[in-house]
Amino acid sequence: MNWRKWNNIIHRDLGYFLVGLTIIYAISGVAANHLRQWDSNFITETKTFPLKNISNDIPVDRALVDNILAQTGETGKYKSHFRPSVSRLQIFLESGVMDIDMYKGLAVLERKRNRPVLREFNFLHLNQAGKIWTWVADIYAVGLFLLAVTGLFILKGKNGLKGRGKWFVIAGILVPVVFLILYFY
Amino acid sequence: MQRRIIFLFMIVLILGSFLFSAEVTLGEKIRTEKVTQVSEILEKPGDFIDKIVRVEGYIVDGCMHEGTWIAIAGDKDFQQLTIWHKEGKIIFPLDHKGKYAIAEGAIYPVQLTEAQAINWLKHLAAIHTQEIDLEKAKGGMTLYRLSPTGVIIKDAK
Repeated sequence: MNWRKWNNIIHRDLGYFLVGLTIIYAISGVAANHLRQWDSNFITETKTFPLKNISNDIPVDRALVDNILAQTGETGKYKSHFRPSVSRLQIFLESGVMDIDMYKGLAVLERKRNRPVLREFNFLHLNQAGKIWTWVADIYAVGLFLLAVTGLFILKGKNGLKGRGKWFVIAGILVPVVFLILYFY
Repeated sequence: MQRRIIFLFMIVLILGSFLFSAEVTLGEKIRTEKVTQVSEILEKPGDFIDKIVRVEGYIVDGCMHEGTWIAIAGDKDFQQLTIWHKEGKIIFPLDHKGKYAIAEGAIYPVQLTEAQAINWLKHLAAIHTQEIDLEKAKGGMTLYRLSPTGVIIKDAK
């Protein structure tokens, strides 16, 4: 068996093996690129409650917190509370975080839940798992490198690397080079 | 074939449930037992620079995009402490807000220029809807953060 046949076998089987990870990294890659515009990790639900008899100058104690929770109907889920500034109060609940604007008399309850599938994809792509997953991700990177290199030598002749293939390779390399010149140097 | 697909799907679901467990441990094991109050640190931050301390508190703020930092509530009103690994070696879960953090590490200063300090105060004013005292920014400002070696994040205290 010649080297090209081995090359093609490696490319084919590695491609099959890495297809799952590649889909995860591709979808999560787009999602992570746009994290500042769209939170692909969490679905945030907010509820706003107008509050009565709340102002900056009221002393903050447990009685006030209970009063706010009673007004919003979020009783029985209290964990703790904190006053980050004169005009703000945060109440930590099992169901989320309630942010109170003492100046405006408004409470906003924020609940976050995982966005199915994308949260898991991002978790793996951004290596938030750490530990052994780091090795898996490294092996995947080596696999991608091998896929790229073996991909160059699948065909010979006019459609191979020496034919039209070289123009595509050069064009593909030029894309990052142009952006580096534009943005980096 | 259908059975195999269902079996694979169930394995993925079971593994997925382990990914997001209730308690998360990051970095090294926490060894310090004595808890240092945030108010003690902020009162005399110079005394704590490069000293290993253990702090605890509910997470009031943090980086929602990359999980590079969190801020925990202090034991006194209006005080919070930012926990941010100097070299970015500890990345926090993104669903941190409202959870309870226990962290061990050293306090380090971050020097802001006058322009950076003004931006920082403006940022604080925007999120806390309060007036800013730009006098505080004159000549620059020093912020104090904790660079953690180990962190535990759990649902409640």
